[in-house]
Amino acid sequence: MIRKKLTGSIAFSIVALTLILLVNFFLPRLMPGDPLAFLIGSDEGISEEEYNEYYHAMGLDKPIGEQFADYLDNLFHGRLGYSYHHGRDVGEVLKEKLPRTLLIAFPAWIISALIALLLGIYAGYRRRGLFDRLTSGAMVVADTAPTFLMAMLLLIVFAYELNWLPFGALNSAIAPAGALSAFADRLRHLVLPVLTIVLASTPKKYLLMRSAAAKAADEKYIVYARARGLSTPAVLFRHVFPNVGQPFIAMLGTGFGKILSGSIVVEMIFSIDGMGTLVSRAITDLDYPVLQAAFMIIALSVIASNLIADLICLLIGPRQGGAESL
Amino acid sequence: MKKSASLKLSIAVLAVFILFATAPDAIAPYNPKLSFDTFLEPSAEHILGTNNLGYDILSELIHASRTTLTVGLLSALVCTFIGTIAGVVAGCAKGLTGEILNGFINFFIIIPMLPLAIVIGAYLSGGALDTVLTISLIGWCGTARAVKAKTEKVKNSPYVRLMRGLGFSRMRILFRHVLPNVLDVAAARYITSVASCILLESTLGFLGVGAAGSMSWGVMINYAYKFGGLARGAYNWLLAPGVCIMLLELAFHFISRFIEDRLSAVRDGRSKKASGGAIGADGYAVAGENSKG
Repeated sequence: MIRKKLTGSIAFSIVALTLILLVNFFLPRLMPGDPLAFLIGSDEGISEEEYNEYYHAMGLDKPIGEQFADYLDNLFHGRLGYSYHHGRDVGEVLKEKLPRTLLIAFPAWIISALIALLLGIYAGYRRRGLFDRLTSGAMVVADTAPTFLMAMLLLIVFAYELNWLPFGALNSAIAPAGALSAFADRLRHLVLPVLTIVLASTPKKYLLMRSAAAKAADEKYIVYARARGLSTPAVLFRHVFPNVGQPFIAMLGTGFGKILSGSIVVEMIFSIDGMGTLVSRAITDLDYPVLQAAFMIIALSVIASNLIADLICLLIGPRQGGAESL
Repeated sequence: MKKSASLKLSIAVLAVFILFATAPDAIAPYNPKLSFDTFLEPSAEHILGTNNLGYDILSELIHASRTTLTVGLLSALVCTFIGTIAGVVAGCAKGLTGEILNGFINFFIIIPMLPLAIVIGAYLSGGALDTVLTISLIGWCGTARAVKAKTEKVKNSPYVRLMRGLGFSRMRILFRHVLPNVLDVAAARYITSVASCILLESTLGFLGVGAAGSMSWGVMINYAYKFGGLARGAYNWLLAPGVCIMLLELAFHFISRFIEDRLSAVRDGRSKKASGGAIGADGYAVAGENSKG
């Protein structure tokens, strides 16, 4: 059983990876329009000589099979496509910007996972209580707000009106001296962007965890665990979560990609010079290679985190016959 | 809030917005292209003030509702259509075909919608129909998954097995007997789908993907953001469309919750009373998709 599931998720990851590669390879080449313009971004103001040069450099004069082989080879070496706007390979540009994105995405991912887990499991366990009604109501409202609206609201309230926190960027223009105060400065700049992503990405996970815990709360083994006098945390984390937590863990896996894509909007509003700002600028410039490379990075991270989440589910889930059948 | 009250309120909000969208010229106080003084504060003459070009924001808002609602309703329709067909076929197919279809649906479920929509949207020329196409291409998977689950249940029900035993053709069983029985799920998913399509549309509009043609609420916020709404403190311009999007989303949320409660009450053979708690155990639509990104 466990082996079948394992091969299933690995096979799925491989197929998904292939699909992504195919989409990324064929989209610029098959869409109506000039493939060269799609491959290097816009081609306005290029002389004919340059055009032919790029045409040759992009390998557009080769047969399609050879182009695909070149494409894979480039990808393997971290070359994600040449951008005319940046004058260099998108892989290099992304390598520069990605750490800044991860700086807000990673903490947001962990914080939102923790909040969703703790609030969701308790609200579901004590469903229809006061706590459940308040948090669930708040989560539903937060879920309906578009991320950009949330970001602007936070910016208006905490930066423009109250002046508590900085407007954007990752540190002050003149970073304060000393490692500790520089770190504090960085933290102050991270609060709003991270908070926005947490607010945007928690509700879905919360609602999932809550409905799973609510279903488990009526089960006999939970009633028995309570009857034995176990404390609420012990019931929740030793009995409820291991039994109904798999969908939640699976959602954490795919959720990382969603956080990365949510940061597109957030970085634009908080003027953080990461992958998101790169993407939103590329939209206006029609810089296709940047858009495709960013999509590729996000898709790859989703596939990877999805696979990891699947493996974790297999290991902890009593229903999958995890530990004892390994 | 009581359930019936929130439902009535939601229907009222939806009705107002639909009214806006159908007859913007009759309702809007001014022509949206009429120029007044720029950046006017909200007043009796201009309830929401004016923007950087001196356009009346309320009038623009009312006119923009047409694009937002049309794109949302239309792309959700296409999504539901594709999703229902894909779900029924995936639910009925066996062996390798079933596995492949299933993997395809799962693939679209895990891939974040926003980056894919940005890439596809960038290749299309822009305009409302292209936005519909972009959203439809990626938004169908949640419906497909829900319909597939229902199809698998129907497929194993006694009457379908009986019909198979009687030798009816697969196609006949599929389209005359299985399909009508999954339409309730498809219809419920349509409402959820409209909400997520509108959210995706507004995010794309805000980012400027395919914003060449028509003015929608998302595009309005994009302009407000770009042309000094934030720096000049013109929050009325910046926030009004966003609040409208939220109201619309909330309305769709409550309506779809009502429908889902009803469906699960019918499914479990319970009376309406029995399922009506303050917040039902599975009252929230928990879909894997996330149109925010």
